[in-house]
Amino acid sequence: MSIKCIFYSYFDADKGPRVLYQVPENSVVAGADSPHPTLFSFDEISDYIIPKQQLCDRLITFCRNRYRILGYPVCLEDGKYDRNEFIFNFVIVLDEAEEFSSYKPVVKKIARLFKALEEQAGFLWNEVTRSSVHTLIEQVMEDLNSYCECMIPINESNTINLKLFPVIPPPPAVKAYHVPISTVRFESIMDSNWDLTMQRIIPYIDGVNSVRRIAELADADYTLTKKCVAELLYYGCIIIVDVFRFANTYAVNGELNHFINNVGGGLHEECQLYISSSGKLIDFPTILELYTSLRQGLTVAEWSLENRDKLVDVDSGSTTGLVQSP
Amino acid sequence: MTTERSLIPNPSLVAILLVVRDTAGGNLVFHYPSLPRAGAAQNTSSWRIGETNTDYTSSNSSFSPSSDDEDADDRRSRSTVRLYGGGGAFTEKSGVNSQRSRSYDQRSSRRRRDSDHECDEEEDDDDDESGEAAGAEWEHVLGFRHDVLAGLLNAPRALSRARFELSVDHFVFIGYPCYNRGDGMWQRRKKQKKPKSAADGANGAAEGKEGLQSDADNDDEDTRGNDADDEDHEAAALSGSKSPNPPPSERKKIKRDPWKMVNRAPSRLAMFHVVFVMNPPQLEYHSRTNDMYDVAKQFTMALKTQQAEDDYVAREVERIMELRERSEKRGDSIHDLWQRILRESTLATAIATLYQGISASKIAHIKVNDFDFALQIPTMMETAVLPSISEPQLPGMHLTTLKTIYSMPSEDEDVLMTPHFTLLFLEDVEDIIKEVILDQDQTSLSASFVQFIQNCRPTVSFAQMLSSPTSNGTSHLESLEYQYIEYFARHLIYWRKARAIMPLHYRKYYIVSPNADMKRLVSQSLIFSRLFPALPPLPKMLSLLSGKPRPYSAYIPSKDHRQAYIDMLAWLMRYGWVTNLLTFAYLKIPKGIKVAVRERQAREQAEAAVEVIQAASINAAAVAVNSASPSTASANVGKSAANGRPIPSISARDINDDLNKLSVSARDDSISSSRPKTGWLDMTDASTTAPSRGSLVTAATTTTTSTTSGTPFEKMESSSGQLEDSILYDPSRATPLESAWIERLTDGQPPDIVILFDRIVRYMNGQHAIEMIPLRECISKRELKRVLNAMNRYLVYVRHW
Repeated sequence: MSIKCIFYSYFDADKGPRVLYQVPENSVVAGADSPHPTLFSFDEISDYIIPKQQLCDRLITFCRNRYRILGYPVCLEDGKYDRNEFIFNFVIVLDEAEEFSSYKPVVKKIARLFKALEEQAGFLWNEVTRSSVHTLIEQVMEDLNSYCECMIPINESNTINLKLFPVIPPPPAVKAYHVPISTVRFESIMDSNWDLTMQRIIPYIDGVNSVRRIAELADADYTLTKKCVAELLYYGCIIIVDVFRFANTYAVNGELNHFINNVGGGLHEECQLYISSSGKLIDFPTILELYTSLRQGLTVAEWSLENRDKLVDVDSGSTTGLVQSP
Repeated sequence: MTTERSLIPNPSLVAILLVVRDTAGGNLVFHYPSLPRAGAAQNTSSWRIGETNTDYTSSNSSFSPSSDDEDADDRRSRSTVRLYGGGGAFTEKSGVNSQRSRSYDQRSSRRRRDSDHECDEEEDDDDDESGEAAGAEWEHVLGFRHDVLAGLLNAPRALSRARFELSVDHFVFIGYPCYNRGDGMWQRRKKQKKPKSAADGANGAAEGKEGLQSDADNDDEDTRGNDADDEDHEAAALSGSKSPNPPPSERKKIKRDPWKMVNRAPSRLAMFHVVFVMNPPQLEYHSRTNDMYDVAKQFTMALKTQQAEDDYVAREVERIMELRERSEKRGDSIHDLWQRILRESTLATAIATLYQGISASKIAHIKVNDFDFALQIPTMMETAVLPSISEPQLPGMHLTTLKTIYSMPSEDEDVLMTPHFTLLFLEDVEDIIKEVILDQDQTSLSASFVQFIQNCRPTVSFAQMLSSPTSNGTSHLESLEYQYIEYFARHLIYWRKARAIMPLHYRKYYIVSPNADMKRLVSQSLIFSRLFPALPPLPKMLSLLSGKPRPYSAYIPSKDHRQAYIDMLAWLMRYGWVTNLLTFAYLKIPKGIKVAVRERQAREQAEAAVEVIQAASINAAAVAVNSASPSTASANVGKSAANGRPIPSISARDINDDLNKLSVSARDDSISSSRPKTGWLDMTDASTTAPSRGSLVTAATTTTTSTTSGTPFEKMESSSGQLEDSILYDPSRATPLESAWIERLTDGQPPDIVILFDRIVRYMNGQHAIEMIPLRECISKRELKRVLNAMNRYLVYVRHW
């Protein structure tokens, strides 16, 4: 995950689209003595970097030479510019196969920031202030690649604040019959600043209660509870399973292999601890035998009678199984 | 790729645009649909088995094993012709169109608010018939001005014949721009024609223009001729699908005539670019755009071939432009114009068919210039993982963890196993054969293809098919090599006609698939009772199969019913109602075995310990001397722990370590130091190549698996005290200690069992279905059963699909 290059390009009234500053040097437009070829030919695709006025103020990406070029061309109209308009673009270059969604807001933000700077004081038009752009983009690239964020002051009133946020798919709709199971220890991460509904409902997230039941037990509003559960789901703090019932039939599936092969991953120990909470530690092969004896056409009630001698806590045992191999 | 490929088809296709560049510059000639909407792309969010295999059974679709078959046959065009010549599809489409034009009024006014240019004079477009309104309809596509979009997609020559991927805000434009060659030709010509075209190119501008003009006239005539041709054909197709088609030779003659005329001058078309506009979900961006690019490239290549042959694209573009100009003068609505274009231009029809097929995740059967082919975005036919309650559901999709045959050979497949699969047809076999016969020239290959389809039974694997020719004795399959079978099978799978399965058998276990689509129960029950009137109804069958798993034979009342029940099973499998229940096994090592092994090793070790310590001290000295050349050093210490180090770079500290470890190992009674030196190598190799598996005990608290040879030793020491039952995760890569355990398991068994168990023990890792072992190892099922019964105490069975 890294930026290959950042460059600043603008439309020159005499020479057409130009690249003024680039980091690293010679990556887009090479000097005569550059030992390396450029990432791609700028002239071939300059139409997509400095486009027509109608396409400005939009996020434009283009792929060339296995690189993805992300830009947000900005067009400013003013009498002081040649041809009365000034088009510029700060472009980030990534590998084509790279997941680039988190860079899109960054490109947009850089463009808007420099647009504002230019409108305020002609930052880019003025040759003196403009010369600092090179250092700025160099710093941006370095910080984003190393820390995924940056905070670079430009002048007293302006700062470049950027951060790459991972894109997470939106959580599925939470239903009343969904049963959340925590995958984290809420006690250790929750503090008094958390949402009030959240604080109320979390004690009832135990892998048995459904969303509706949680709302009732916690005496919380159902709609708010749903929202909280969706939020937890979004951040992966919980997963959702079906309501556990003794009349249900459960069976293992192919994912069991991951569970069994998870030696040293702590899953076995976690499972042993979870199941054996009220008694002595059950060894792993016994647990596995218990899980594999769950099968089609056999309800949990029947199953627990069959395995009476081995069982400690049917309820939590099955729930763990569902978590590990739903 | 950082994005996961989703199982659910979602083409995210918004529109297909055709952009060309000729002497007059770039132009956006045609786009489909006429009024594309961004939202339209997002409507395919759910997967239904019916959408992938029942809908196209109704259309007599073209189907050719090699889509790049140059010798196109007109008869294949029937589905395309029928689609637009009349019938349900056509009315449905026009319905959509009229609906769109109705809703246009609001949207166009909204768009005008958004866009800030030259819309003020078009106030009065409430009346669809007014010329200005029609012009406004055409002027914007996807919220872009027509000329802006044309300029944007008019890729410079440098980008020719390469992937074109541009995104503007949330629209992604995927294409494969295709320029002519430098000399204005579209394909390398034969030698004698070259001077002529060169001369044409060198002509003055005016003269060239004239030449082109006359050429265009010729084109017009030709195309009109072609039109009549098409109509003929259409009429023939409409009058009855069984009506005999004109002999191919005659058609070829008609087709070749225009080719000669056009051949005289280079086309004025410099570039064409079919652009697929998409609106993919951000997290699926890469996989969705890659899929679409494959389609775009194939379509473009097909067009390029036709353009090179008789200037097809240029002619069609000319025709569309003419229609547009005429309509613009008359002030037609975009709806009328698009109807006319689709009627008169085969290229437009092809683009429309392609859009409708691809955007519905179906196979698009396309005909360009009498050349037929089919395009699709391949879909998944089966999944190993049942989606959880909060994930997008795939009701009716077949569930299996078997690595079956896919449309393309892949690394996932088990080459050894592919001959033991068979095909389950997802459509009626007769229909498939009919299509194949219709589509094919009667070559020997297509004859054996038909033969293959006829002989393929869901109960007979490919291997069995080859070894036992069918009853008629004169089967072509005798001469058919396996590789052809595989080729045919992959072809059928790719075109969604079949799915690879383990041959059905009444002794196997079948269960109701947890992924069965219960919403279709009512409708499918009706079909089921019609197909199998003598058998219990579908709900009853499903209820039977939901009980405690039993072999399928348990549900068959008598031997005479067997065939009917197998047929029913095939039907249930086809629609994802049932799935094959497979058995997997893990090896359990009881505490007793471990103790026994430890005791024996301790005995052996006691005898060898002294000797080892002596050897180690000698070696240490040798290492110190030879430290400059690690290879000699490792050779010298071949018998000792230094061998365990993957990279034998030796320093003084390392030697100390080695010595320490040696003393540890000498004390450690759980390690057999008298085992051959390769044993030491094995142990460390295992811990380096598969770090996740490096631990030998279940209760191990240490999770660090570094490549240093120290780790296994320390672990063993710490664990040697507490032996308990454990599961062996991968017997095929057992460490020496694990091997000793496995060896010990068979103590007291007859020798033949020991030998057989040795052969099959590597499949006891929960990854290989027990049902597959006899096929894989060529042992009989009876023998396998004997071994498994003998070893039953040490096996944990897991049953799933």
